[in-house]
Amino acid sequence: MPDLSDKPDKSVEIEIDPSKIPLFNDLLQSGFMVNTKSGDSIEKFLCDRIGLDPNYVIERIKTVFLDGRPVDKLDIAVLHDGSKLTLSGGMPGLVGMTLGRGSVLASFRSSITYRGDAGVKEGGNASVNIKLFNLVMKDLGGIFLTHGINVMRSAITDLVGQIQGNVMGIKLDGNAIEPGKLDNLLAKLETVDGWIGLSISTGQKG
Amino acid sequence: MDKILRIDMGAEGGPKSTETGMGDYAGFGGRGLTSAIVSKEVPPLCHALGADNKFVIAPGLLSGTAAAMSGRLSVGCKSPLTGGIKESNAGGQAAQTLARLGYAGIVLEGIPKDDNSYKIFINSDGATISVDNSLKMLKNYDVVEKMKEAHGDKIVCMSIGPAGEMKMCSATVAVTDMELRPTRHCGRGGVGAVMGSKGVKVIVLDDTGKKTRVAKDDAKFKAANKEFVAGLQKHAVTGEALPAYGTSVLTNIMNEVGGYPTRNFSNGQFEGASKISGETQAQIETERGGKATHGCHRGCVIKCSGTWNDKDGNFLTKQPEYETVWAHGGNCGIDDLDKIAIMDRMDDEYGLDTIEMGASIAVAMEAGLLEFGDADGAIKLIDEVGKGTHLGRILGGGAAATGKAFGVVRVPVVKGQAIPAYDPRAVQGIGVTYATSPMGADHTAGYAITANVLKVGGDVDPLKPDGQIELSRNLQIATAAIDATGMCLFIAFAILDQPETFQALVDIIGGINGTDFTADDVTEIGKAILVMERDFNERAGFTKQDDRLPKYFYTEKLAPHNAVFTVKDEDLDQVFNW
Repeated sequence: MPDLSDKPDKSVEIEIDPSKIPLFNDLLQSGFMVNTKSGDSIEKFLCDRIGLDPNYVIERIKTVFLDGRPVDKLDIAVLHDGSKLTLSGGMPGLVGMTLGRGSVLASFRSSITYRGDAGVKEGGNASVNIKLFNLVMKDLGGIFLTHGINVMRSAITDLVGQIQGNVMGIKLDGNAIEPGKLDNLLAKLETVDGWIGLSISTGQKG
Repeated sequence: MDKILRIDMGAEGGPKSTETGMGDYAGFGGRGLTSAIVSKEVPPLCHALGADNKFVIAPGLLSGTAAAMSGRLSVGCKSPLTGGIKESNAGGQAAQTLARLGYAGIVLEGIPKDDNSYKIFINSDGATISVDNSLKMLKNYDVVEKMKEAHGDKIVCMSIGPAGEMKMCSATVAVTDMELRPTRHCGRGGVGAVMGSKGVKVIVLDDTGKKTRVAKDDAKFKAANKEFVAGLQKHAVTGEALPAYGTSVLTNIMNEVGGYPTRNFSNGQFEGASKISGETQAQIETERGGKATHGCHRGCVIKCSGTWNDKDGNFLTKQPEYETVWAHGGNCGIDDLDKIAIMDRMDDEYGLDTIEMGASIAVAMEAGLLEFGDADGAIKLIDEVGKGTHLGRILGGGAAATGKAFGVVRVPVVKGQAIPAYDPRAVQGIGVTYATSPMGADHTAGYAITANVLKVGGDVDPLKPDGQIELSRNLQIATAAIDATGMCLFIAFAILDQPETFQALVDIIGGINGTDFTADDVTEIGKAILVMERDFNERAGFTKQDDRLPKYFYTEKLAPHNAVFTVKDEDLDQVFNW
């Protein structure tokens, strides 16, 4: 199971058919927050915290950026509070190839390559911004959504409006509500800096 | 594929055609043939739109066979945009068809003595050249419709739009795809203007009755082709990412890394990138009944193309490519895929290079003609180009011409050609290729197989910045060779990661020729092509000062990395030192 400690005060759970997960693609590629521990390597975060198969990480997540910098070694790239982590499949084109993990063309982007961050303090809580692109978005979107992410309040109301006809149910803090009432309820909630927890469930009736 | 068709458009009494054997050009194909003919037969100091320039069309060495991915066509000439040698490349059906008709090349020479619009029809009986002034100033889709009415729907067309007839430096040559739509373009360098200067509006190809070319060692060829296709299909990039998302899969990535040129190269990130990403594009295409997976030529197994329908579900244009979405999108501050698709269709109709047009419009925005983000304004500007208004003629002349006309300093061109969708301040290595390629700023010139696969120049340490010079050199060599074969450059990813797939490609070439072909042979072909091209450019007056980026790339910091281009001039001068 993933370890997402210190969730925001409020959480929304959307019940939806798994085939409708692509409706969340805008959110997944625009970015969402996940909690972890400061000092976690990307490898530890993905494999231990999120629970991904290490072979999947090696074989499929071929392009990784940390704070906009291409990462070559996942075991030495470390996360901190506010990190921006981008996960993608391998990319086409000369430049796409250049940006890949361990690329033989890495010298082409040596001036922006991630080289480590000695200033990261280990152990404290960290909120990390994650973006999922292309094949990785398709593979991992459901996994992250099922286990729970954090988004801004406005992102959830926008989202429900867009996916309205496909929502089978909504719970706010564990209580079932009508989707049409979500917007008003969210507007009245007190949250920490506007962040709401979001997760999906796929068809399991309680 | 053992003959060259030469058409003298300026002959006394009207255009005359002759067919010759390959002669000194035996063994040349694609970019190899176009560059060989141009470098040998075109006076480098001639006017690009004058009688002494030649317009060379050549399928690749593998085109017309059953080799997967072998349908790329090369068009070559002296470029009216750069003033140097040009090879411009497109997919579509023309390469396969020309090769099956037995032509290694078509050469248009001279200038017509009249103002007529010519159609060239080529089938198994040979070439017929006729006047058809009803085609004058027609847009490309209308030209193809008329050709279908006249010749049926088994044809392939290469045509120019109004931009080519007006001899604009952004003009393209359109090539029809499998659906007989003029969606694939020999885009860069104003090659459409040269075809226009020869008075030729359309070349119609009909290979009815012709068969696929057979390999000399058919057993070797078939086995290698099977292995090659398997390699392409199992690789995540060629077998999944490109078919699913097309080339625009790069939008989110380039934006995230801070190398996505935004608002005329003033920033490396665009806030609207996710709205015009490949992921979003594929989703909308599918929802509207278009195709997110589509091949541009028969024999393509990667299928990175697609079709874009409008909001009512009607076909509007082919799936705009990454470069088009960037040029008309982020580079102009526009984040509306429907408006970008309209601009793509207009570029296809008028016959305009989408990169050069987007760059020109962005320079016009910087000049204050319209605001960044004004999509409707950009659409109106393309219309002005297509109609040949005074403003349109300036914009149609390219980004450099637009910058000069409006006094803009920040004009992103090398050798007069607009820089494509990767900022060299973020990815310095692409800047090496932009600066040094004989083609001008070209993102496809330094592609394909790496030094460590070909062992050209030894193994390169990827972590050392110094490695960029050797890598760019080796990539340009490899790319030139691939361009000679007719293969699509997107085979590169599978070849890079899978040695057995690279070997399969080498065996395909060997099987076609009935010879043993090696990686060293690939290198020798590529070097020979680059030597010819560099020699032509030197004789045309180019010096090492032309192998540089615009000055502001060295001084103006690009957010978010605050990077400038740092590769030294003396290092750039070493790229072709072998």
